[in-house]
Amino acid sequence: MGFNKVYVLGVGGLPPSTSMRELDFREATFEAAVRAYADAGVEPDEVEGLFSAEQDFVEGISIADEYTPDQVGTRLKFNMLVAGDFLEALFHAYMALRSGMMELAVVESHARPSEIENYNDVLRSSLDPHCLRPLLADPYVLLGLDARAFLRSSGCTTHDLSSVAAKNSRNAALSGGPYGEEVTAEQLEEDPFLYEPLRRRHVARFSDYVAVVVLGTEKWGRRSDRAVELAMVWSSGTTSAAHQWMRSWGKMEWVGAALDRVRSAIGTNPIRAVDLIEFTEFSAHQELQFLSAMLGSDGEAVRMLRAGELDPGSTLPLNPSGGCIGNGNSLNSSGARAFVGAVRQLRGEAGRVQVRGARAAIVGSLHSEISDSGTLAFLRTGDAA
Amino acid sequence: MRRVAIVGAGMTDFRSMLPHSSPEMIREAVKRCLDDVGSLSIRYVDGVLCASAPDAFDGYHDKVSIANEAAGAIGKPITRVFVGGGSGVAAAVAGWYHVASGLFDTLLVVAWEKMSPPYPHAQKLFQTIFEPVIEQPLGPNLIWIFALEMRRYMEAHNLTKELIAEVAVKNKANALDHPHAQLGARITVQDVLNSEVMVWPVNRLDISPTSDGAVAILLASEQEARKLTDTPVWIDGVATCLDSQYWTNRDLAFPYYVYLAAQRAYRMAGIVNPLKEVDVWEPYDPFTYKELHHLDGLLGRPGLAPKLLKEGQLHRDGDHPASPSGGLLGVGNPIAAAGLMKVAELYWQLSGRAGKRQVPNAYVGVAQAWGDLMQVGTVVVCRR
Amino acid sequence: MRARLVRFAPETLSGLDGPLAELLSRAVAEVGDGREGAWTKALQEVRGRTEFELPAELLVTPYLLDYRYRRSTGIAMTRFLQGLREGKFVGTRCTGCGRVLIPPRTFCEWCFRRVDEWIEHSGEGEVATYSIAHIGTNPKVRLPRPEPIAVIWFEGTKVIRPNSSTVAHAAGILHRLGEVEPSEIEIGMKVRPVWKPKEERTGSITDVLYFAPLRG
Repeated sequence: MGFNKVYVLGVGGLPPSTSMRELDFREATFEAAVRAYADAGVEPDEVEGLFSAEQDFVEGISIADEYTPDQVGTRLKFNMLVAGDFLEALFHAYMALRSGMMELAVVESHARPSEIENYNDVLRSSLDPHCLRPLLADPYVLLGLDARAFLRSSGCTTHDLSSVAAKNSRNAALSGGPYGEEVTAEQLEEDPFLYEPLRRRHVARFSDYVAVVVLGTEKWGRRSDRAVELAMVWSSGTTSAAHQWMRSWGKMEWVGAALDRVRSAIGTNPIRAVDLIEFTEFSAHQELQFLSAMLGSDGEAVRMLRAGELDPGSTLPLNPSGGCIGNGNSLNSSGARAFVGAVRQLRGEAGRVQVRGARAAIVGSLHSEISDSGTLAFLRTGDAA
Repeated sequence: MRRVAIVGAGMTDFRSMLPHSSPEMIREAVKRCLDDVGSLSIRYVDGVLCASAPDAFDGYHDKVSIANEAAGAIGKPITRVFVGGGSGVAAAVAGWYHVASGLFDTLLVVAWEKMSPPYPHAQKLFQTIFEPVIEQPLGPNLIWIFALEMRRYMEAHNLTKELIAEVAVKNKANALDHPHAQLGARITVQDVLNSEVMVWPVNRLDISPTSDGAVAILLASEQEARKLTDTPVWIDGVATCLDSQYWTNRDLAFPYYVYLAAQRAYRMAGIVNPLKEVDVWEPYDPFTYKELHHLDGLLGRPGLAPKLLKEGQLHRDGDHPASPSGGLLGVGNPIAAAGLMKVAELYWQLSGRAGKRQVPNAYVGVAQAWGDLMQVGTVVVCRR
Repeated sequence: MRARLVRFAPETLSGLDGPLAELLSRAVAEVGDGREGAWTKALQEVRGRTEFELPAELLVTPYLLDYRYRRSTGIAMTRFLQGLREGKFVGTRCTGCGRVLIPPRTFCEWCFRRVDEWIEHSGEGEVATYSIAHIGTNPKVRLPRPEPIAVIWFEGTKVIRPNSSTVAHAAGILHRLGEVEPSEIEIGMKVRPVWKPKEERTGSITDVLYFAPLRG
């Protein structure tokens, strides 16, 4: 039985920013959609469905999908809202296109942390109301627990976390990310601790973001010489326990399960096939955790970091865009920013952070800042595909 | 396209204030579903798709985590979809493309709702579904918009409250035969008209209750389905359709988005004349008039459903049985779970497992849900 | 946040409130005493069967969700709210389909094109549909004065489908009705906005007090 191949035909986003106050979220999304359709060279009329990734309490609206269709031109079309990161909505769109139920779809996500006065309370209420919420005034302290466990099991130091944060800040200074700065690990080591062992700039600050991505099957992919193949998407969860008090700290268990599926889909170990990785690290240790899980070795990830092999222009550029530390934590849209960055890399349009000759990329995103679950997407260009 | 079957279903009782926590409800529905497929092990299941309506009901942000362990999703993909009241049937639609994509051979679809935690009442939370700048300041509640739509519908087809009340009489009577129903009852049209006016023209008995409950169904590819059961029920058509958010700019008399969703699902399933070809209808009935309004959309004939009701054709023994389960008015309305209950009912009806509710000679069924600001239609077409 | 222990015994019911008390009272009435087995039986009657053995104690953890937002109103809604402050309805018109858009938007969802032709409207219109609310957000509390609410369609903005004579579009908003008895309200009734005094207007939808019948 044949299943459709899926291609990224076009992307459109507004640059991440500490505030998008001048536009209403619908107006901003409309701008992103106009860019995405122009980029894809398709007419909005031709689109068959919308997959959006939103969260009610981030929107401040119950039933957030009410306000999704008009600004992307999908009124009276197929609609599905996935309550999670952008890559999870992409996963759904990928399946719908593969199945043959539609040929052309858009995936949309926006988030405006600048409009939420007490986001930490929102995140806190993703925790158990009886046993955790009363104890944790600030849920981000869970990142500290996780980072501590990771440092202990991996042999990393807080200086390594500063190196990650410095790399991403420097990359973002080139890519234009709102938190980009020319900074060294030594300078970051001067930052005060927020949630020990995490220092202030080890944890991503917030930014507003919106992006629209146009996906199509072969029928559409063949028409464009800039189409990038979306070869596989897979979401997975923790393999031990989802509860915060029972999870296995210091590890990203979800990566292994997702990696297995991507490997079998593309027939090779994806980590060997890619030229760059984009990942939504909400905290510096998560980037190393993710790479460790991808490589199946804590030691190798740290070695690569210390050897500068994760820098742009080296062996395996990790977050050449600057990641969340450099571009901001855009909540459920963080994966969208990473994804758009990777697509631009593979089309050779990444400007000052372009990875030379990039033909394949992995994009990874966490379901939320504090959950051990996430999604992997494997992208490749025509000649790699 | 790869064919997808429902091979099992299970649900909790629907009740106001179940003693279970949400994970406990989910676990119970999942267990009953797996037991229905010959005590299948959860290990056999490739992934989970869950649905639950506003996060505010559970008082949980990002509440997919509630379902994770309870649905046996550890180490597996689990995502949550959500399109307001349409979520339950949307879950079946999303579940369909999981399996039809070839990436999953078996998939558990779980929907739950716990509406009892909000205090003093879930209605307060419904205020937050409205436009925050120009509608929320007016202090709207959900029943307002139903009343506005019902009044418009009555005007368009000259309908009386007496006729519309017959939907409640029918569905609550049907629910007497449902083992998990919350509000099965023998009532009269007069009881509905005499119940207190909530938001005119909506009386208390025109409205489905707030409920807690969970439903699970197991989907399988054709190859797996043949191994798991002798009576697979095929999902042959799926669709959703979302209209503009500017609901005050639309005519509410006809649910055009339900019509379009239905037409797409029929096309997929090869159905040309739904009135002739469909044996069982499970249209979404959170309010009495909604069953008729939605059936108008599903049939593509404005004003036809009230005529069928008047002729007694929507009764379980009529030519076009609608809500033989008892619907939301009779079985209860834990939002997302109620929509998936309608899909489960198709499975029970079409596989001959509906017991006292069984509609004779049921080969083709349609389930539909609806939600957001009178805006989204979600439809599945099933076949024996 | 505090947890509260609730023993399933009649004397504790007085300390409870709302639906929980109602539910447990019913169970007490049916069983008649506070023995644990009887409680379980009563609860299963009222609340449905389950494979779980119900605990003899029930805990309630009260908590309040309090999220605060500052929503930017953007281009279109800002002009709309400014217009309300000045006693008029500001809209846009799409040059593609010709529709008048109130509430205004900077894009047309039918044509998916940018919209930048601004118009002003007096706010006179007709009742598209209406209802009388007897309850607010707590269905258990009846409003002392039932409240008529309506969707208002603004005059001259309707687009009729030629083949079915139904309304394909009309610029309109949700609001209250006033200066009218519920029994006098009809679909199609002509109405006008009644504004707050100018100095009390803040740029909010509540700058319009209600819509009243257009008489004479």
